[in-house]
Amino acid sequence: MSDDTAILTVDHATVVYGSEAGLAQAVNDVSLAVAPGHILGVVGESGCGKSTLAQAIMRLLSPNAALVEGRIAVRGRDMYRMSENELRMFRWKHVSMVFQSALVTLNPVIPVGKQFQEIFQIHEPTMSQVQVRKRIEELLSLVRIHPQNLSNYAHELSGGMRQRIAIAMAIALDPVLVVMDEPTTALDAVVQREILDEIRRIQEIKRFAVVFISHDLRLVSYISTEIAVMYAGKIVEVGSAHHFMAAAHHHPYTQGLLDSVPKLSGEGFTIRAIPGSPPDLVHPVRGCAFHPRCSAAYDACLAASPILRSVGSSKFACFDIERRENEKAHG
Amino acid sequence: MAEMTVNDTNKDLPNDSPHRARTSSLFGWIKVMKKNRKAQVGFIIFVGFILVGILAPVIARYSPTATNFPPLEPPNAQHWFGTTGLGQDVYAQFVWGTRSSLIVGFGASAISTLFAVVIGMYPAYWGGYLDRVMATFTNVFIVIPGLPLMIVAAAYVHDSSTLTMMVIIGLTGWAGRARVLRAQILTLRNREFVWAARLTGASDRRILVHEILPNMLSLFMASLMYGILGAILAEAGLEFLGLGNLTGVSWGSMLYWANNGGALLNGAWWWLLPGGLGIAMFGTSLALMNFALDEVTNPRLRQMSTLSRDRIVRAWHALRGESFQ
Repeated sequence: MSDDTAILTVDHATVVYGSEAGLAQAVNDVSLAVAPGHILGVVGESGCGKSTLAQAIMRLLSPNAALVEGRIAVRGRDMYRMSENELRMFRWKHVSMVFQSALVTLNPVIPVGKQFQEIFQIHEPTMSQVQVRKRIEELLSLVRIHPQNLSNYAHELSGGMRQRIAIAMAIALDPVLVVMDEPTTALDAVVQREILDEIRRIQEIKRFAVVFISHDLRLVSYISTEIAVMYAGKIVEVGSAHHFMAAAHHHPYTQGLLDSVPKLSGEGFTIRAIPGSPPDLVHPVRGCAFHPRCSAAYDACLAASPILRSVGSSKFACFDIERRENEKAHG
Repeated sequence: MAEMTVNDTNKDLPNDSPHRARTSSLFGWIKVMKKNRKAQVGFIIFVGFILVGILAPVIARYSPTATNFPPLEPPNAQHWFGTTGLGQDVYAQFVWGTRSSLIVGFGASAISTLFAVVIGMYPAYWGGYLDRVMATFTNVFIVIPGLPLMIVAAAYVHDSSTLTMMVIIGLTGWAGRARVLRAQILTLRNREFVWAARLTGASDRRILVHEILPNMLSLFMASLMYGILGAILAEAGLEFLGLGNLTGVSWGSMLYWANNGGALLNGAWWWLLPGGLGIAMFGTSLALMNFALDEVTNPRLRQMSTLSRDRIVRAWHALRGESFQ
């Protein structure tokens, strides 16, 4: 996964929010790359900066937030060096987004078909009405929606149908990257699974890359090829999804996430919550951000902030894992 | 809200907790307003005008209607704002004019607010037949052009006392505001939190006062300030057209006499300016307080106005101890 071939490169990105209390570092020195056709799942609790990362990738940060360090490039083009006009034409054509609730992103007073057409009117003005119509029907059949629903308004459709339409809209122009910010969170478990399968199926056909943001680790491991775990604006663990669930090591925070959900199979499993409260991003603690809640923390964790290092097949930002690995290597 | 309904149904408990909550939130408002620069400036100008109005007899130095001074004198130590073409002291006129203009402004606005609330807000909450009648009534009043109606009414009653002016301006100025308040009530009365309050057994009065009103307080205050300003402008307009009490002194009548006496032809800018500036400054003070109120009641607006992206980037680099170009 070298940077030249990557569809998305995030290079030492730091995003801060300005508030009356001070500056909050929502994304803290994050680097990652997504190769063509890969699905990167980003997991973390509320307020860990995962949605801010998604917004930063789309250059959609709210007016009181700014990318203060680093570089974010899609297809090698720096998102933050484009003019407003270039950005307008680049977004959706090359990188698009699926939001948490399609009910909020679909205009309530315009039929969904009309909103579909607008995408082509803006980006493909030379296409004829008939071509556009044909293209929309293709897209709808891809997400298994009947074309007659095009004349419906958003509120007339079910949550699952709305999200399917949102996905169809996101892939309308064959982008190379689709950012999905909690696309299934507003849906119930059965529909969630359906949508995930849908995304996977379409992704296999169209081979676009995905950044999939969620708070649900098992959801992410179901769909992703790589998983990144975020805590307090930093990536604390990143690795291939294939090995993830069975991996020998986990960052203590990831382990906490895994321990906090019940498994349907297997007995004698105790659910453990992660002790303590989410980190304060305005007044970050010295050292590793997770150390106040970490049972494995020792003096090194209080002194400095660990950086991502490869251990086995994954990368970890954890002194404890490094220490254990060193002990193993030296006998 | 749960505690509120407990108090509502259980008569043994003292029913003061919602009231306390309301006053404390009002205190909270005042606290935030005190820190807001726009509110400070607006409030100082506003209070300044009120003081001038109240203290008019003390600080005017001369009678505003006395004509025994040399005419058309530019501002000097004796006549701070100069004198009019009829030999009156402009400063005395401005001070007394402030008083009468503000009285008419506040009085007329009180009348039109009362009408706007009774005709616009209450029927809108209950809906039904009464609401439709009142809405039609409001719409008819909106279509009638205000100034001609005022002119006709003022000319018809042949009585230009302060009270008459207030009533005429108040009765012609409520319709637009009634419709704005009505529209807001219509959107609020079907919100989930209102239904939730209704389900927990809250009375209509309680819902209106404790659930709906706090949500439209900023709109209501804006409407009130707009009403005061509108009334002062209307009064000045009537006076300027000669339909007011021309023997009395107000900002409008000052403008009328300055215009009639050819203040500009004689180069007597000091005769013309105070009346106009009074209206403009008082309007500015109301607008400033209104902007501030908007920011106080809308936290998002407050943040956006104080924290631009450039400032965040600069603050970040300052924090990191780097120089930033």
